[in-house]
Amino acid sequence: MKKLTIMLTALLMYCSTVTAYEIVLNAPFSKAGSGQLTMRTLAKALEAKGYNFDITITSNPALSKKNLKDAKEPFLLGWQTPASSKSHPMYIKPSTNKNLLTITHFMGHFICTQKDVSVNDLLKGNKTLKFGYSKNFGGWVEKFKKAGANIQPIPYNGSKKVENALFSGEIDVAMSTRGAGWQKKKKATCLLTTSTDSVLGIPTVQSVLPEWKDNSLLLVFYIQAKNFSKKQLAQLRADIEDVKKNDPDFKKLIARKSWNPETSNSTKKQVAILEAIDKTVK
Amino acid sequence: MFDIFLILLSPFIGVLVGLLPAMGAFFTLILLYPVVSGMSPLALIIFYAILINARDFSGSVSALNFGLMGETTSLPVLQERKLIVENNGQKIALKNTMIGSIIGMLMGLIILLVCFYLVESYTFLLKSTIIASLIVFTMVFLAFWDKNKWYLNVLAGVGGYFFAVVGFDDLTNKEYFTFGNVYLSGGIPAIPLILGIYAVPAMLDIFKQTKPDMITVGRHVKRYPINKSVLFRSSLIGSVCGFIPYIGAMLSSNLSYMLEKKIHVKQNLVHALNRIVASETANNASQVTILIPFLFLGIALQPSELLVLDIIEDKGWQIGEDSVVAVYSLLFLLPLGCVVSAFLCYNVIDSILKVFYKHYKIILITIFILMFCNIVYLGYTSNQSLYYICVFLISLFFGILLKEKINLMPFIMCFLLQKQFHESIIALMYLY
Repeated sequence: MKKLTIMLTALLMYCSTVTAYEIVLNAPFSKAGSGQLTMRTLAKALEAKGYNFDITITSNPALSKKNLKDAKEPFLLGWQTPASSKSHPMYIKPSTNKNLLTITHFMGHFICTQKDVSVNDLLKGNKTLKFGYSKNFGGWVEKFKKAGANIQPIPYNGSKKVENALFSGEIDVAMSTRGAGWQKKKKATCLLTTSTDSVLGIPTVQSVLPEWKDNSLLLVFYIQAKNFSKKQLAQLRADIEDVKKNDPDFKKLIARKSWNPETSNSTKKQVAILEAIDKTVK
Repeated sequence: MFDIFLILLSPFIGVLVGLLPAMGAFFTLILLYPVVSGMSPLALIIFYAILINARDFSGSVSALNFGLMGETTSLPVLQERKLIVENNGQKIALKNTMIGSIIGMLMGLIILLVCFYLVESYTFLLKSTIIASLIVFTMVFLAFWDKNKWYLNVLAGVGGYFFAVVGFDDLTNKEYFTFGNVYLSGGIPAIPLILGIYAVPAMLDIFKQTKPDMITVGRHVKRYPINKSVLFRSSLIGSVCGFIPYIGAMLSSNLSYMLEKKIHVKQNLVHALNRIVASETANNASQVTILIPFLFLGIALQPSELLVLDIIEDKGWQIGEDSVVAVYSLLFLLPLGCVVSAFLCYNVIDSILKVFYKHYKIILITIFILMFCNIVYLGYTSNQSLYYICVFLISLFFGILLKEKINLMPFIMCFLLQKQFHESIIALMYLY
């Protein structure tokens, strides 16, 4: 009887803590892409800690923004930045110290080829190289061209299409976040990365074009919160940081995709990162 | 052990998916996600390959016997249904399409084996020029679709293209015809639109009858041998189309069908059988070759493959090393799975038809409710239930209104092809 009483009391205490409210997690990512997978993996790990999520993947940024605006209950918005322009539905103002939950991870792009092309050919070669990229990052590609790259930019709708174009031989060089995976599987050779640090021994754009400012290009995934009390948000931040550092499934996902986990910066610094990226969007 | 159980179950699941309109492989995998995500990569690939082939077997059964569109690849069968039913040809049509499907699948496996040795040389099929050419080719065929006058085909095609344009376009960075509506910004969803404008009006036709068409199925019918050149042509078309991203399967069955319509022009049972055998053969061939880029390059050509790829990569699947085992396993297990599916469709269908004949109104209402629930659920998972319902109901209104006046096949095809065509054209503009 004593054991039963203790168990029931423990259950009651457990139920009255974090599971007391449901959290809506809304993101505009593709239903089969890695963005939604990240959100689901994080939510699954948090649910093991007692949270209760209602996950909706809209595949429609305008709708997700509307949902954020209309939300009356605890609401999390999964998002990615930068958008190609401020008129793009994927653009929102950067999160603040008050509403940023966390940057989940970020990644650089990789400039890769299946042909006999070197960094020198890319920057100083006689032949103009056909350069495939995902349309969202056109602004950066134009700057790369102005900085000296001898390229003919070809926009595609998403990284999958860029990959197909590279493997079909339609383009000479591709810029994609998938590059690290290609290099690992020996499907392509990556010449440069737009990340701030070298990945898999691939040199950064900064190292070959030091005079060009803002030469890094990071794709950042983050979560913004609404309708949480200070206490709830602080608890959720602590729990999600724990998940990012220790959850085996999340760590495995990050490692498999060769992404960069964001586990070292404070919320204030993470906000500064988002603000810096926002300044590059026209 | 659980993996083996699921593989054994895959033909049954596939057959069921094909019979139920609006299910589709992607949606099935989402529903089965908790189960399939636990499978080993090899087992999941085999499960998936058998499932999509079995689905296409029963997709044609559904279209032929119940007049339901299980899959978009079954549209040609749906087109020929009336003629076949009028000539008591359902049973022979079923038999011939089953044989065609198995031949198509075997041809796909041969191409799979060839590609296994020539892995480097086929990726050129992913080029924008090839994709755009095939789409243009299809659109030209559509203009001469003989169910309508040519100008009606063009009108329907332009209409389908126009509807697909609605939404925000990433490539031009502009919104088209959204009128500031956030739902329209995401575009018009394909499943509620196609079900509303085409599939449900076809169902209503059966419902209105005092007795359904399948009354004659059990009768003895004359044997109609399959034209070998039809099998060869269509399995080859299907095998090649399987390489086309996203639309390969749909393109293969419709392209083969349209080609056969130019060769077998008569409105009699023999020619109708040849036409549907062509579409089903091509369809199953494409469902095998669609796996080639997936297995050898890790390139997913359709959404369901993307999901499978994500699961198997998560489990450390290595393209190259593990592909060898997968190819040999498929060479043995896929024909086995297809024979089981064909057996199920061919033999069990009689019993199903008897039940259907007896209770067809209840069954149709149940299917309609399930279909409607499916649309609501699809919308719900995207937070757009009401929008999906509106699209479905508006499409249904126009589907019923236009049914007697115009065949909407060009509309659907152009709607589905628009995005791919638009992207290819933009890429070509920058390339040349």
